[in-house]
Amino acid sequence: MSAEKDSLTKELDNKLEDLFDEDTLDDENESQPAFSEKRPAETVRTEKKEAPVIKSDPKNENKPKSFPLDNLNAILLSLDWEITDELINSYLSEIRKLKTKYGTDKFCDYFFRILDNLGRYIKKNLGAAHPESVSMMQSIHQSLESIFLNSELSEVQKKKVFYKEYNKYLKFKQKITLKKAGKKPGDNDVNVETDKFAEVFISRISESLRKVVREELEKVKKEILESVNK
Amino acid sequence: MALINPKKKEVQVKIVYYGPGRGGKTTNLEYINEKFRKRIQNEMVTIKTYGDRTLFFDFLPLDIGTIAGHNIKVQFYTVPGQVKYNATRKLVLRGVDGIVFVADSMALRREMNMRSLKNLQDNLRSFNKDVRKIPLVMQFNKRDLGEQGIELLDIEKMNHDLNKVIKAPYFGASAISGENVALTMKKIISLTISSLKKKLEA
Repeated sequence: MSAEKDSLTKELDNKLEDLFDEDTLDDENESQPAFSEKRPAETVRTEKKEAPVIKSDPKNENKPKSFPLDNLNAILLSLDWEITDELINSYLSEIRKLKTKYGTDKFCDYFFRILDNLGRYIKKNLGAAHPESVSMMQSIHQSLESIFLNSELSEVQKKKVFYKEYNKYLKFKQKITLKKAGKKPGDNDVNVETDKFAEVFISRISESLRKVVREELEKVKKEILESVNK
Repeated sequence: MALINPKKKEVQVKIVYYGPGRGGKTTNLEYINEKFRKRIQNEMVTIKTYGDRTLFFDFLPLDIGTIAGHNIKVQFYTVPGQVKYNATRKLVLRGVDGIVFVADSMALRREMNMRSLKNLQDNLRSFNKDVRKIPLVMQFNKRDLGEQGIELLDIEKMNHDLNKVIKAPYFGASAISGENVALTMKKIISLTISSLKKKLEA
């Protein structure tokens, strides 16, 4: 039995070795492009690398061991995994702390305001918040980090970084508004339909009532005439 | 539990890639699908995604071929990472034969790895399965990020955090570059088939 078991394991291992042998892949895949998928987790980070500010520090080599935004980053990563009241409260409190400490910089203050707004939106909606909410926060965080890491940035450069994120934020807000608005016209349509139906229904009833009254009046009129003639 | 068809001499096992959101589960399967496409001759199916996130699951069927007179088919699944999709995770875990736990090596993700593993334990328990007994391989993914100056947890620390009790085979890996991706897959298939054989013989 043991020998048989060994032979099976051996056979399986050989099969797997053949199937997943990467050394012979190059010959097979010559005409095939190499695997080039972007790591989902790093999509935001890669995008940020393209931004002018990050280019000067692509590997965050200048990032100190203890960085003011580290805690915010940790909370954001946790939020990406799970949105809870506790986490979102820590997030909002962290934003408040950062705002008090670093809000003197105009652009940092703008970023904190947007992050605060997003946090409040998520707090209100929790799991039902738009699926892109946390990635929006992460994107803003990345840009904010780039401002923190590049103290020599001019106001114009900061403005450029800010507006890039601000436009994204506006688009995101629009998505939420459209989503909400998407429901309302539907609801209104139902009301309009209901009103139309009621209108037709009422007019039909009125018409039949009028007919009945008219017939009754005719009858009464006839009876009166008959009695007068008699 | 694996599906066994004695008439057709066919065995079908289910392996699930589990782990925190954005840890690289889908990238693992994508790498295999892209790299070994010609040998696999099957297409990976991703069921409903939103942006770069898996909201339902990914599915990759793989025919190993005939072993000991039986045709072995493996079905790989990934689950969505976020907690709010736990119902889907539980659904995908139903009938699982083997698990690859894909942990994120970034230092900031330490807590999330542990919470995800706890979530796996809880979900398995709901199916009367024990994480220490089911075939499992630990993959400590994103090792490549160390070269980019990003702080990583060292492998031994991750092993201590996540694998102290389970004592599963473990690999440092980079799903994006393919490092140890195939090795992880080979190991889990091998463990799962051996475990299945043991169960059938018992």
